Parts: sequence; structure tokens; C-alpha cells
Amino acid sequence: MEQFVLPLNRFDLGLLPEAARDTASPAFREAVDDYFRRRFREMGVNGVVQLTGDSLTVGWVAPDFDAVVAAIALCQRGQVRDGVQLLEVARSRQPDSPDLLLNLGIGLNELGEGERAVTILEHLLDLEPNHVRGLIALGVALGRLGEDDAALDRFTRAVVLALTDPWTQSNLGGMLLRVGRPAEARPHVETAVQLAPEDPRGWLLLGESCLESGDEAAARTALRRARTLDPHGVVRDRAEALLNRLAIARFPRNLEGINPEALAAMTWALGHLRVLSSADARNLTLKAALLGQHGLRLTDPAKAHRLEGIPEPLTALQVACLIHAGLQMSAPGADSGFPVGRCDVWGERHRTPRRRPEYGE
Amino acid sequence: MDWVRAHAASAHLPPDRQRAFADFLRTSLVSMLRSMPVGIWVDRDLRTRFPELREVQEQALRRQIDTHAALFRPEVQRSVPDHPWHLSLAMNAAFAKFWGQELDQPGWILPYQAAGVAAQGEALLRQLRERSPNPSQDRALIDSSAEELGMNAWLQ
Repeated sequence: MEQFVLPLNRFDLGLLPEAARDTASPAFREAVDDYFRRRFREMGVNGVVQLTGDSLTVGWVAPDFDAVVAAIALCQRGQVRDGVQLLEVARSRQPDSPDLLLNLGIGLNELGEGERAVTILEHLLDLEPNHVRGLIALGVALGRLGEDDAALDRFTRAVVLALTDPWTQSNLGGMLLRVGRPAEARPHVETAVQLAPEDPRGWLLLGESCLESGDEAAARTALRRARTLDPHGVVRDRAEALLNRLAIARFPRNLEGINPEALAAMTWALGHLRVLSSADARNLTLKAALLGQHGLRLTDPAKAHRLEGIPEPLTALQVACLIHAGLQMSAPGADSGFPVGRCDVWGERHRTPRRRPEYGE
Repeated sequence: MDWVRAHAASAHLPPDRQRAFADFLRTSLVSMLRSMPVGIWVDRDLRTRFPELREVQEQALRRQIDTHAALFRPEVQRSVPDHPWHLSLAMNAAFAKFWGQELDQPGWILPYQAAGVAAQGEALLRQLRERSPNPSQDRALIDSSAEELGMNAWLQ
């Protein structure tokens, strides 16, 4: 759909008959309409002109224009508001088009207009009670409104109608996870990844359900798969965060000396910070924290991080230990986000620069 | 300067700010004049020589058309004095007409026709068509376009 808005004071009155050049007159309105109608005919398009206040809005579409297709294209380009606007206009001509209602409902929900989305999608389901995509979209909208039970009901109905649809399975699994039923979620998300093994979201949900059920090994495998399938997207970020959470959960055990890597990293961090002045140590900690803001891959010792002032490449564990140890030196007991400092004597130890740190003492 | 002084939204500004605003608009328009007609030649050359890039190029041109349409927005019109607004619109009209014809988008010129600047855009395109698209002609094309728009004094 093409469109432009032109203030009336910029319209070329020379295009109109002399008797119709008073912008306040009904003749002006008719003449403008007539002018554009002729232009639309020449262009071979369907158009509309609206005179509102002190401007005129002119819009036109090709005769074979499909509002739903165009709206989906707009939404895919991130212009969800434009897409929804287009569907709202088209709805006046096609009030009961299932495709239109579905996409309008999804778009409204994305714009945060959940209640209107629910109304539209319920209308769709009144027309077609077994519309699987409609049930899923309604479940998503209800879930966003916090109506978890109603959402669960719609997702369950969708699964019953389309058992072999990975979307129905993953949405039901996701909602079960959300309401704290990970064991029930797991078979659904397992089915989802079997049906759509290349969908990173399915693997992410499987990882989450395994994690919530306490199956760390399976969670790790699923989350790594999700990370691999979506190396640059939001799924990767979430999978990475959960993998880090798994790694961090092992830190206390590391402190007890079970994992030599963690011990070595903390010893290295302490050694490095000890020889610095307080100001330089704070500076280095800040740099490490800034580096950490971009995400540390704690689960991958091969991933090298660079920190200004330290020539050698660092592992994520070393950076995390620098952050934690540096923070404890300046603010003993402060939470660094890494449960590596269970002993609250860190600060005390590091304020005594000459003393050799005896980790775990 | 006169057109800045006559502009409602700028009339209250101190003279040095009015001068700075006029300089800014003049510089922007001269920059547009130097890039738009020659840019059409370059874009057409790219289109001829690299058909595989056409889709990307068309998307970029469409974005450009949309960006130009912002000039019609009431808040933009209020903030720009009439004279530079018309000059800018005339160059945009030339761009819309040229690419509208090339890409079979007759509607692109419609807002400029409705605003009464399509003829000026057409006059600019005539300058373009009268010359062979060649870097040695760039200067002459810019000069004649400036002449057409009454901007030649600004190029000195």
C-alpha cells in the first residue's frame, strides 16, 4: 500500500477548476476526489482520498493487492504497527477472514494490546473452533495477560487437534514449564524437537525442562544444541545464560578443591590483583566487569577473552574470578553474581598485600 | 537570508542564528544538488551492469522515496522555510519521476504532482537526458541543474 499526506495549503490549486479552488468549499472536496480518481485510473490502481482537517491523505493499492500478505511482510520487516493498521483497514471489508483475524490477533498481541488480541482471536475461534494456529495465538495472548490456566487450556486443545505439529507441542510444553510443571512439559518438548530438530526454540525449552527437573546432563546437551542452531539470536543468549547458570552452580564445589580449574583461576586472579595498587586493582576489576557484561562463556575454556593490561588471553573463569576477587577487595561481601566467594575473608586477605593468599584456608 | 526572516518559525531567532540556519539549509541543498542528478546516473549504471544487485537496489530506492516523503509531513513543513522546501521538493520530484518510470511505479510522482512541483522535477530530468552519462559531464550537469533551480549563485 502506498500512501502520502499533503497539507491542503501545499496542494496545487492549479490542478482544479477555478470554481473549486476555495479549500473550504464542498466543490473543492469533489474536485480533489475527481482529480485523484482520474489519476488512480491512469495508474491502474484502487485508491482512496481522505480530507481530514487541514490535510489530505492519499492511498492506493494494486488491484491484486492482498492485505494479509502485505501485512505479514510488514510484520516480518519489523513494521508490526503498520501491518496491524493495514489489517484493521482491511477488516472492514473482510470481517470474518480467518487469515486476517489470526494475523491481526498476533500483531495486536505483539504490540502489547493483549485484550484486543484476545477479542479478535476469540472471534476467529467462534467462526472456526478447531483453528489450530488460532488456538495457539490465543494461548500466547492469554499467557501474556497472566491467564495461565486459560492459556494452558487453549494449548492443550491445539495439541489434541494437531499432535504432530511441533508448534502445538512446544507451546504446551513452554506453558507447563511456566506454571512449574517441568516433568509434564518434558514429553511435549521432546516430541517438539523430534518433529522439528532444527528449531532452536524447541531445544531451548527441552533444556529448560531438563534443568527444572534436575537432569543437568540432558539440559546441558539440549542447551548446547539450541546454542549451535541459533548462534547469533536470542535463543543463543538464553541458552548461554542457562549453561552459565549450570557452570556457576558448580563453583562452590570448586571452592572446596574438587575442580582444579576454578582453584587455579582464582589463585591467578588473586596473584594478579595483589601486586597492584588499590586504584589499579579497582581499574582492572572494572575492565573485567565491563568485559563480563558482554557475556562470559563459562562453559567453554577454549574461548579466549582479552583484557587491556593483561597480555595473555584469559578464560571466562579467570575473568569471573577477577571480577569477584576485585569486588571483594573493594567491597567485602558484595555480590558479584558468582558464588565463588563463600568465605567472607576475601577482602581482609587482599588488603594485606604481602601475605601469600592461601586459597581455601 | 530573506526566506529565513520571512519564515514564521525562524522570525524570532537572533540574526546570527538566522544566518547559521540559512547557511545550514544552503549547504544541505547544495550537497543534495551535487549528489542527486549524478547519483541517478551512477545508480542507473549500477543497475545496468549488476543485475544481481537489482533487488537490493530497488529496496534502497524505495526507502529513499519513503524518506523523501517525510518532507510533506506538517512538522517538517513548519520547520523549513518555503524556498528551500520547494527546492528540495523539486529535486525529490526528479528522483521520484525517474525511478518511478524505471521501476514501473507511477504513484511515486503523484505527491509531487499534487504539490505542483512535478514540472520542475521534469525540467531537472531534461538536463540529465540531454547529456551522456559520463563523469566528464558531472560538472556541467550540476551547473545546469543549479541554473534550472536558480541555485547557481550558491555554487560559487
